Amino acid sequence: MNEKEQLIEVLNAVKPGIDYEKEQHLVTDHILTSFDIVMLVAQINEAFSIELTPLDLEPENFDNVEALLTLIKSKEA
Amino acid sequence: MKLWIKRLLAISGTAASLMTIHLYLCFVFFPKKSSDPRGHFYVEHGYVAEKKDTIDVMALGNSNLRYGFNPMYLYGRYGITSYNGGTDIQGFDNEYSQFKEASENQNIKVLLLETDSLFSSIGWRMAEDKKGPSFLLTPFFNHAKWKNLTAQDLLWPFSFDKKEKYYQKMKGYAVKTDKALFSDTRKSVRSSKQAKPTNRTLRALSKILKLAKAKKTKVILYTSPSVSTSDEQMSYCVGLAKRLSLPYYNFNDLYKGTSFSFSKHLGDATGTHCNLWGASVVTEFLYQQTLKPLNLQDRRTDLPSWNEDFADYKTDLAKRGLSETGE
Amino acid sequence: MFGVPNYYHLGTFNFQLGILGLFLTVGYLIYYFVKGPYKYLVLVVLSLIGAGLIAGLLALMLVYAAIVCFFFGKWLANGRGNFKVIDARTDIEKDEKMRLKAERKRRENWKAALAITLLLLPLFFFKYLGMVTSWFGSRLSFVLLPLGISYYTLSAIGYLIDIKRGQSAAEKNPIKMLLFVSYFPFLEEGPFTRYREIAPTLLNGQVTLSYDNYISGLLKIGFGLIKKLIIADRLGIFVSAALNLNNGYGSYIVVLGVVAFTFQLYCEFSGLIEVVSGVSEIFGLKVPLNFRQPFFSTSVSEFWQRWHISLGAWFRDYLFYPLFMSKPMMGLTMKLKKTGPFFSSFPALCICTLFIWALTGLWHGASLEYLLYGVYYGVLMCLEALYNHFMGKTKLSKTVPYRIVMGLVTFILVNIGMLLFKSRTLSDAFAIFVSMGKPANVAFFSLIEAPEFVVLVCALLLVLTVDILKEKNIQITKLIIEKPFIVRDLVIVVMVVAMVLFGVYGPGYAPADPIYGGF
Repeated sequence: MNEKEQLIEVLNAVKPGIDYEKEQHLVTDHILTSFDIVMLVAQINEAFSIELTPLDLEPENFDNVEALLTLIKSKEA
Repeated sequence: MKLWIKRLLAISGTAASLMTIHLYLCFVFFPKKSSDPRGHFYVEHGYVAEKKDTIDVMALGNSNLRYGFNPMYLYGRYGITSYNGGTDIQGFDNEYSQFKEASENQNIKVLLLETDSLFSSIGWRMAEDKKGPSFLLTPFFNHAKWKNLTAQDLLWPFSFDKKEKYYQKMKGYAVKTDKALFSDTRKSVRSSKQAKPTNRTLRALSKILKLAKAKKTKVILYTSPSVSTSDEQMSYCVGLAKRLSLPYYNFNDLYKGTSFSFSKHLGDATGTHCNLWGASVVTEFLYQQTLKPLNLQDRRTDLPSWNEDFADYKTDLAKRGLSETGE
Repeated sequence: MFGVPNYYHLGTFNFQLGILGLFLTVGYLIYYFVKGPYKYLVLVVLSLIGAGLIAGLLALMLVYAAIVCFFFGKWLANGRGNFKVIDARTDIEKDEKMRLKAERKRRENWKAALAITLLLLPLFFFKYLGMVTSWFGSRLSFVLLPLGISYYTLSAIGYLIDIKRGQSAAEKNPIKMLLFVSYFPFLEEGPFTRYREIAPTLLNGQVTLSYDNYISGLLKIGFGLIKKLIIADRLGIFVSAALNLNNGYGSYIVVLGVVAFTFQLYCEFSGLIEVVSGVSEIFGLKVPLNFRQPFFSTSVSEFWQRWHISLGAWFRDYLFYPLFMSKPMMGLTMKLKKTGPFFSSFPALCICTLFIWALTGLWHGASLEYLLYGVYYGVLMCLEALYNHFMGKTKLSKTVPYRIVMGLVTFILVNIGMLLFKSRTLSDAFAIFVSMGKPANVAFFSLIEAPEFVVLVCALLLVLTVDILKEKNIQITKLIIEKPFIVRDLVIVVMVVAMVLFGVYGPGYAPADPIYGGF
């Protein structure tokens, strides 16, 4: 499973019922709440063995799957 | 057309429409009768609507007087015509202008000056306010009337008839029907903040006396019932009356000879405003002490309009289940 | 003439309003003609004059906060720079770099803690001293509360934290620092601003002053004033009669009283924010959104995303996220890994939420009642998270009738919260709640006259219409500006006349003080 699929699996585990492939404005359209985001952080940290900080919680980083992947990749380095 | 010209026209257009509407609202809301907001000005100056040489007695003072002297009582029993020019928060400058204005059309034989307004000093803003409702600011001060506007108000907001606005059936007196709780005997108040009139007040007083002399008006000083008038103020009035050779009647001393009761005849918690029954006792007192000896004319035979007003007054009291002397 | 007196004079209130208008117009003209980089000078002078006229103490407190921000901002920015220096060093190993960075991080944390303490001290003394001393015996409190201290203090703290995190550069100009803290329109009711968002326009003068912005600003000011003067103040008269326990009213009167209070608070707060937005827009500044049609929410958490947005955002970014992502909370979550993604996070979520909301409650006021007000919402949000975890999986939760029902439930819960907010004590809130079961004891139209009621309903319908349009992302001001002149003229004239006629002011009405202004 590549990272994108892994990420979508994590997203669905935290907040099911959303088409993560299509949605481009998860934060700015208020689809993900702050509760969702913190739960996501815990799961992403665990799944990708990275350590996100509050600094990473900019809306731009969480708005869609692509942005999240970019964030994750930058943390893995 | 250039853009800035267009915009200038737009701004001017909006400003012009606002000003036109403002002017219209000024006419609509300008008080047209004494019951309109800010219409109390007409009550205080209602003597201008009386026919020439109708008013024989004029009383001037602040709210103590406004609630404490009933011209209809006087007229009904003794046929003496009077006007109660009492105004809330009054100053002597205004009392002079009231007297001057009234004297133009009336032959006032007796001027009763209530002394409580001697000891007030109203600021220039209040004094300006006393000059009358401001036309251009009317929509801001009187807009509460919007709920009571009639079609007439909106379609023809002009009133030309002075009499319609100023004529007062009650001749300036305002009725209170509550009973405030004070003790039956008046307690003495030693001193108060303002124990002497300001120089400005004294100047206005001397102007009143000068005019009264010219018009051959007899001036009488009197203090109305009040729980807060101090001994200092009352002894000042005694001295003033002596100096000016004016008769002085202090109701706070003399009430004991009347049926006045501080526990039954005051109308609100200020302790200085009479109710209907208190005003009757005070008016009777004033008649007996000051007016009866002067043998003023009984005008009931030659004033049909006053007779009409008196009849209306009686009907109104009856409708409300009140009587002048009943409690 | 037509019964007009010979003289007129200036009433003092209108005189003062006229002076204010003149002052702002002159200020705006100077602002317009001054070059961009210097525009901030005009704003800071206007703001300080405004603050000084309200209270000298206020101006002093603003200068104090600006000084703390300025010096600590620079100090923290330098510290931030040190991290790069450490990274760039070639003479030490990676482990050593990590150690040095950790040490530096501790030092920066202490600096920030000191700065934040200094900023919080005045807030504590003016606002919370009374409450704390009353726990230990006699209550000691200052009577005066500098206007806006709860707002600008948090904005200042946010500025420093942003620098420490490296998200913001420090302000090098002390006067600009002062302007950031003291910009007058934000003092009364906020909103909270982030330095990096507001700096380009407010501080560096990168604004475009256009005629359209001017009209748009005026429309916003007009609409905001309508909300405040016509709706909020009018509702206030009804509310103070209906919810006065001494009157002994009950049943639907009290229920309507609570609902009316909710709308009063909304119209007043959002109305004044709109005025702030309008004034700022005239000066070319964009103000962050603070209300997003809150009554269209289908959950309490959504409500607090749409109501007083900048408050929720501040507590979320500077307290909630850091707290949840701290070692203890993340550790707790990791320990519960086996329970699945939701339940592992849930305990940490609850602890953080309750703590944050207790603080949010306290921000609103210095008393146990306000703390409980916050905790009320905190508890609701935790329960909601649990509820949505189960309901979110079902198809039902996506349907329209469900959302309508949830919208109504949210509205009821919010009104209960408002009842807590309004009541001085818990026993008062309880008494009001109980009185809903008692008979009304009064006719509705003796608490509000029929014509007033009609005006109120019409105005509320107007606000509802505007809110619906906003929800559909329709820019109303833009719409009006694009129409021909006659439409713009009509709108402005109708607004002004409505305010003059139906505003709650002057003889016949009692004055009303803003509710969110005493913070």
